[in-house]
Order: sequence, then C-alpha cells, then structure tokens
Amino acid sequence: MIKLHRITKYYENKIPAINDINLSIRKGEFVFITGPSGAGKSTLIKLIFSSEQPNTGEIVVNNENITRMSSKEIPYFRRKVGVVFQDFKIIQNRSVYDNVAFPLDIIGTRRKLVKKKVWQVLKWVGLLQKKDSLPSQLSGGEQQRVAIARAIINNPILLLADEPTGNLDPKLSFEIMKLFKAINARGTTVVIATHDKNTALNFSENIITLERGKLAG
Amino acid sequence: MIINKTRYCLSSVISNIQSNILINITALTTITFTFVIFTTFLLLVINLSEFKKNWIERVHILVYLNDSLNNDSINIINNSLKVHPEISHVKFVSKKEALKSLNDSLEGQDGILEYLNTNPLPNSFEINIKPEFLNIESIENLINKIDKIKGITDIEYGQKWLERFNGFFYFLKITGMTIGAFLFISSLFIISNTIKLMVYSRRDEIEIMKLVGSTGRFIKIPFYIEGILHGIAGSAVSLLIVYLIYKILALNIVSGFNLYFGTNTFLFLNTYQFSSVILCGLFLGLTGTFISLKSLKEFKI
Repeated sequence: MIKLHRITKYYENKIPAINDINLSIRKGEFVFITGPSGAGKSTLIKLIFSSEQPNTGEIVVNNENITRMSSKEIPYFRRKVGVVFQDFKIIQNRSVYDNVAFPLDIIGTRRKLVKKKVWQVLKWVGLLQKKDSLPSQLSGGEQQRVAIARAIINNPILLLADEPTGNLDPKLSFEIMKLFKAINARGTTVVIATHDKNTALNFSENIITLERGKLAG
Repeated sequence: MIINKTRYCLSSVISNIQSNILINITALTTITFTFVIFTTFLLLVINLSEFKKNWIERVHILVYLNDSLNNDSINIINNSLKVHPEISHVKFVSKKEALKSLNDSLEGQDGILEYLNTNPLPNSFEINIKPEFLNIESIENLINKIDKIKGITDIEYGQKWLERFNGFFYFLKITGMTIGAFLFISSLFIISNTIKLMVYSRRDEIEIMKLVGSTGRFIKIPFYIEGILHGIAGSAVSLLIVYLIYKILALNIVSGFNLYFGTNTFLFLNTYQFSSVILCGLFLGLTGTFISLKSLKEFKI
C-alpha cells in the first residue's frame, strides 16, 4: 500500500526532519508511528498525504508514485485518502452534517446520495442525533468523531491520523482508537502517528519508531 | 455533478458575504463611487459630442462685406460664392435688413438703437451648407476658399466658440480619463484587498478543502464569483444613481440648457454604453480577484 524509498525531507533550517528512510506498509495493516516530539512523525504523515514533498526519494501509495504527481493530480489522489488531525480541523460555523458532507459536496455528489452516506457514517460513529449541532456544542471526543466521519465518508483506501488523541483524555482516546480499529476491520489501511507508545502497544503490533528523523526499530 | 458543484459554490459565496458584510459594503461603496464618477464623465462626453454634432448640423456662415462695394461687386461675390459645391443656399442681407433684425431681437430694449445716427452694420451674405459637408474639415476648407474673394471683410461661423468648446471638450476627456484611471486602480486595490480579507477569514476552510481533495480551481471559483459580483453590483448601482441624478437634472435644469443651446434632448446612455459600463464592472471585479489570489500562498496545493 505504502512504499517509501530513501526519503529525506528538510525544512529551511536544513536539519533533516526525515533522514533517508525506507519503509513499507502493506494493504489492510494497522500501523502506529511513534517517537518523541520532533522525531518526524507529522512530517512523515504529511509526506504520505502529499501535503509536503520530499527533497529526495520516492513515495508510492496504492501503486501511484505521488512524488511524481503534478499539482493538478494531487487533489484526486487525496480523495482516496482520509486524514485526521489532533486539532480536528473541522469548520466551526458549519453543522456536524455539513462538515461530514464536505468531501462529497466539493466533488459534486448528488444531494440524495450525500444525505444517505452522511446518515450512515454519522450513525456508525454514534453522532446521528447531533447532526444539526455546531462543533462548539460538542465535546472534544465528539469533534474528533466528526473529523473521523469526514475522513471515511469517501471510503478511503488509506486513513492517516496525526496525534488523533493528543487533545483527549485516556477514556476518550480509547474510544477513538477503537473506532480506528473498526475502520481497519472494514479493510482500510490505517496509519496513526502518536507519541503515546503505550496506547500503540495496546492496539497493534505494527509499530514504527522514529528518532530524529530516522527509523529506530 | 456540475449543478451540485455550482450550488456549493453559490452557497459558499452567500455565506461568505453574510459573514463579512461590512467588508463587502465598503468594497461595494468604493466601486459604486468609482463608477458614478466614470459614468458621469461618460454622460458628459456623450452629451457634449451630441451637442457639437447638432451645432455643426445647424451651422451657417456669415460673410461680411466692405461698405464701399456697389451692387455689381456684390453680385460678383454672390456668383463667386454659388460656384462652391459645398454651398446649398446664399442669401444677401442688406445693412437695412440687418439693423431691422437686430432691432427685432432686442425686443423691449429697442430704444438703444434710437441713439445711432448711422447704421453700423455691414452688408452680408448668409450661407447654408449642404448636409454632406457639415463637418469641421469641410467647413474650414470652404472658409479658406471664401476668404480669398475680394471685398469680404470678415467671415463668421462661431469658430472661436467652437475652438473654446473643443478645448473644453479635450480637457474634460483628459480629466475624465485621468480620474477614471486613478479610481480604477483604487478600486482594483480595494477589490483585491477585500478578496484577501475573505480568504483570510476562510483560511481554515480552505485548508480543509485542500485536505479533502478540492482542486485549486474549485477553491478559487467562489472568490472569483464574489469579485465579479462586486464589480457588476457596483457598476449597476452607480448607473441607477446616475440615472436618478440625470432624471432630476433633465426635469429641472436641462430643459433650460436645451432651450439656450438649441439641442433636442439631454441623452442618457444607450443599451450598448449601458452594457459596456456593466462589463467594465465585471472586468474590474475579475482583475481585482485575479491579482489578489495570484499573490496568496493559501491556494498552493
């Protein structure tokens, strides 16, 4: 599913955030990327999502070399990938329904189909009764579930999550991780970046550890 | 799919305008002001051109004769004038007739002329020009030819007035263009900054749009629609304002102006000119948005 070949990424300070990494994740895997702050976890997620471009090396996702994609092709690639962030990244002045429907709206999906899909996914994440609420009326855990619902509404082949439980208490974190596990059980490859190695150990044996931009084990 | 995308874009534009109402009103006011000035100048230029055209169509040349000429010499001049193909009609006006005409025109003040011992007015010819030669070049060409005839002391067709009018007309055009260009650039700047503010206010939404796979073009479309709406609405409102001013002027002031200058009517913009002003608004909105979005890194995929 994901292949990274000799990937190096450095920002303006010229210190590599990712330093000559080779990595392979198979289809349907549930993988954690762990490591301390500044280890390069978020950069790795951004690279797989083509939000950042590597300075050297090649990344292949679902048999597509995303490092050679033009800027016009990238949006179409992103429609096949779901992403979840620590800060949820949901639109505050739009309802839960509108937030979840967003990826379908922008590709011009018929309203009837949008409604059907949004209802299904909201029911699945347990937020159907809150479909008309604004994000500010929801708890942190609920807001993250909205973000997850939005990430999976297009049935992505790959779900990436960058510190998805970073803003949540242990109980809510556990609930969210269970949700990711359930998504993985439906066949979606899930890659989660987290600094919390214990949580990772509780949910998967596939753990990639990063330290100063290099694979540690 | 296109209908759904269009619906999304339009709802995005509406929510954008609603949540930034003050910025939008400021932009609209500036554009309207620009177009009020622009349209007013346009209206002035159109009406003065029409007035000039009307004046030229009604022009006749007065040829004043030397007092010492006898009837034979006057007849020779008459015949010399008639040979010119530009002239349709030549009428001799004697000193006596000229004084009578002056007397008639001084209605109520004719006593002024009683104190004159002699008639100071010269004999003259009134020349009418054929319609196809009623333009400045032909008239001036004819004047040059007539001027060479012996016995003629002066020729008058309002040339000094026309020169002054042309000077004023030129000044008005240059002033209009200068102010227009200045206001156009100011409006571009205002639209461009308004769109920038809109982009900043929707920065999070744009980031999310990119995350979920929106194309750069699709993200930009609502901003272009907004810019175009600003331009069209601003120009349309300005046309309405200028039309109202025109109506008030046409009723109260211009009728007097028409009587004095002999024009038939004070014109408003025709359909072509009206559409051109709206198109200018559209172009202004489009260009302002283009300048604004080009410089923003928010749209980098």
